[in-house]
Amino acid sequence: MSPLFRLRQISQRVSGGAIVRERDLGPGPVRVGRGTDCDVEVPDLAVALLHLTLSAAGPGEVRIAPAAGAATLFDGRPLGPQGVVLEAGRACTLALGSFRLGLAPDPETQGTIRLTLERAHAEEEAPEKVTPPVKGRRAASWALALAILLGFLALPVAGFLARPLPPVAETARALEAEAHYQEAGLGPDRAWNSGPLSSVHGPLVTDCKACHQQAFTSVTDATCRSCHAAAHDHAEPARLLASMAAPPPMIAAARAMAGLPPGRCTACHTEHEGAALRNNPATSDCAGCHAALDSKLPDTDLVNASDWQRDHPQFRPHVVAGFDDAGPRLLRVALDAGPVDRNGLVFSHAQHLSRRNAVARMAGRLSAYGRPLGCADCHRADAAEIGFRPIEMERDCGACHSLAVAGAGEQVLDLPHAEPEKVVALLIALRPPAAPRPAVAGAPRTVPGAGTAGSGAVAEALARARAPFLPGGACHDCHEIRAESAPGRLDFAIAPVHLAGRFYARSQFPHGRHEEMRCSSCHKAPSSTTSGDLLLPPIGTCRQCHGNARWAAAHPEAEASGACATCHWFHPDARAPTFEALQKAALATRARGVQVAMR
Amino acid sequence: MNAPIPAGAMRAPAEGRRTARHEGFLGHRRFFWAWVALLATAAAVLLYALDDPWPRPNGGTALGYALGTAGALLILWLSLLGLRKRRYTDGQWSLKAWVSAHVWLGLALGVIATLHTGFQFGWNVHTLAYGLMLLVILSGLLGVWLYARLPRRLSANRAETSERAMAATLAENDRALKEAARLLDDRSAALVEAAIRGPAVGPTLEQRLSGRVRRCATAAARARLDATDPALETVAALLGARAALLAQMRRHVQLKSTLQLWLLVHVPATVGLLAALLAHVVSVFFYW
Repeated sequence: MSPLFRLRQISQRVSGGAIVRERDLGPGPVRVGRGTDCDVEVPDLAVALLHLTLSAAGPGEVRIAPAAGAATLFDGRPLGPQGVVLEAGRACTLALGSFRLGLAPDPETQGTIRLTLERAHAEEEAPEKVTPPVKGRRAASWALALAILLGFLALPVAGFLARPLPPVAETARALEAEAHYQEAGLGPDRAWNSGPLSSVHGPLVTDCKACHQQAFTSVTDATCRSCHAAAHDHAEPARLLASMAAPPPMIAAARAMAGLPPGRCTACHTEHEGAALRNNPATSDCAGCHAALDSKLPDTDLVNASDWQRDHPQFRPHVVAGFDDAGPRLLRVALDAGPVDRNGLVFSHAQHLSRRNAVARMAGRLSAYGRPLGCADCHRADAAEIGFRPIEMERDCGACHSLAVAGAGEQVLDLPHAEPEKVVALLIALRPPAAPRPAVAGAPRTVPGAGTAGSGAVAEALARARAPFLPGGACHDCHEIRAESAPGRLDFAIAPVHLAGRFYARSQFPHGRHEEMRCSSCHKAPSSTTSGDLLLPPIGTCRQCHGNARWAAAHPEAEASGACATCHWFHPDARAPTFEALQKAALATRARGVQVAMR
Repeated sequence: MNAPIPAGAMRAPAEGRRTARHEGFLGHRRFFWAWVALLATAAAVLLYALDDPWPRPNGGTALGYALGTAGALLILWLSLLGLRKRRYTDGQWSLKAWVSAHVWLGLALGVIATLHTGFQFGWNVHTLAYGLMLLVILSGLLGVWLYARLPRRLSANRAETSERAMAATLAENDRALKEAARLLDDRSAALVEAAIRGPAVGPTLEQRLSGRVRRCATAAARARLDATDPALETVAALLGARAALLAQMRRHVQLKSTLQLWLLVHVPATVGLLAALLAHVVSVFFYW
């Protein structure tokens, strides 16, 4: 029996609920499509005018035949152009555009196929907004923030916590420590490095913990001193603090809260400022204490100074005021007071620097000079080209002031300098003929003993031994001589000599850096006739260039700063020993001669 | 009765007209915030010029800390606009006043933070924060420039309608189009169906910004429908109307998307800057 078709059409009310309409369609075939001539009208543009045909195929069977090119889904699968036969008793759903057409045996009427048509989804309402939002802000924000917090905050902190403290104290400079820094490699906290370390601290860049040992705590002096154990204080710490200008109360409170004590190493020794270690404090820092130092430290022997050009005391060199049993008595005298350096030597710079006198002629004849003497012939720069090597008689004077005497036969003896007793003993022991023998060919001059020999071997020997100490003798040329206590006792003594290597304890003049200048532009040596003349230039000479804006403008190529650190330094270290230490060292080298002679 | 007119009564309408005039956020309150920003910048520059820090200017001197604190507080306040703009109030702290201060103080921040660096830069978290801050400021400037130009074009394009009305007109046109196309042959119906189904505006941001839609189904339907067929006259007319509507909508969406585009940089860079700022501040005091 061929089936009958019955349509059940369901449409949705706008107010909710469904309207169901039923209609008998007879035995078919049933035309389904958008067209008004169809038995089942499907109002959807996606449906063809005639989309498919349903017809009886056998008892209870339905043939579903699609029109050419009409896309239909049969139970969710595409329906082929040849169609399909629905077996008796079975149900299926066809999808046409946005509509669903269900086929099922009618449970109420035997032999009837019920077709159910309904819209699968409600018609879309026009959207309120046309512009879709530009998305991605939130995701990008999260991603960026989390990446930064992880890479630049969490990892460095974790790296810091995980790392043990580096070798400290005595081991810090040992090879193991070097290996520690070489093997460490850069940690995740490298991104925290605010700038390159100074070259001296360069290797520490691999381990921030070398200096930053505690989180949220400024680098402490103890950490600095674990390596720099030998660093000197500028002054006694209590006096240093007493002299410091108090910062405004708010800043002082903030510093105290932050654990930044005044006078700490890092206040001046800033790091991460580039390869050059910038450790010269600004003039303003010095002036903070030194402008009115006497008001804060009434017992200080330092003179107030706040500005190099306008407020700096005249230079006060240490000069030899005389000698006592302990050695030279040094006195600090301002240059304005016309100090005399009683160094014990008999010397005239003018005589030695003359261009045409006997000294000049003699120097011209000597192969060692070949011309009149200049400053550098006696004053030889030290290795650092800062100051000068101490004057050594044999090296710096001996070419002219020979101590050679003719010994037995062709032998030439050198009299020992600074040892008058040995000189006497050596000359006494000489056997005639002790003919005078010039040390240098073509330089005839009085030699020890010449022309003073008396008759007889003893008298001759006495005269020979006495000669150097008498006017015209080799010693007498340069030294004040204390005569023998009684004729014939030969206990001559040389007045003690102290030539200051340096006159200033708190600054050092780098002569090498002034090599383009003539010595005489600062030192008035060519006109000095006595050794007591202090040939140090006064402060005005330095000020002509240093800190002089007009001079600087005229000499853009040169640098002549007026900053304190140009001449002074903060830590009295090996470069700047205390004056007492300096004197001790100087005396030690001279002790064997002068001091023995004085006893 | 010729009672004298009180002076205030004469002025009232004039004041009404004055307040009705549009005043942009830049010139709000006679450039009040511009002046504040200028003064802050001048003060920072003056202090920086007078300061003689040793060994060189950087973020760790007294002035460096002061400028850094000011900069950090500014950044925090400036980024609060993201929260503030979601609430509406008026008066002195209206959203307009807030935006005005945001723009001008944001520019001052550029100078203050630059002085805070002491011109020390490197490959580190500190310069990262500075770079992100510059990115935020520059993208913000782009935003100001866009807001100075695009709203005028936006309203010129929109004419008397609104975004919602555009969508409703399109829906109405589409309903009519569906009705008119009901009896068309399958090929034509498919073209019309595709035109209606096709995206009104570009499905991708790139297409929205270009104002064009690749393979626009409406344009295709207009091109391929037989215009000489009298049966298609109504459909063709409706499709023409649809195309004109789409052009307006696409222009509208193009301008509105462009107005949002700079925020795609400005907002994530701001959030990144807040993270980098936190890392910067923590790291500086962690390794003091």
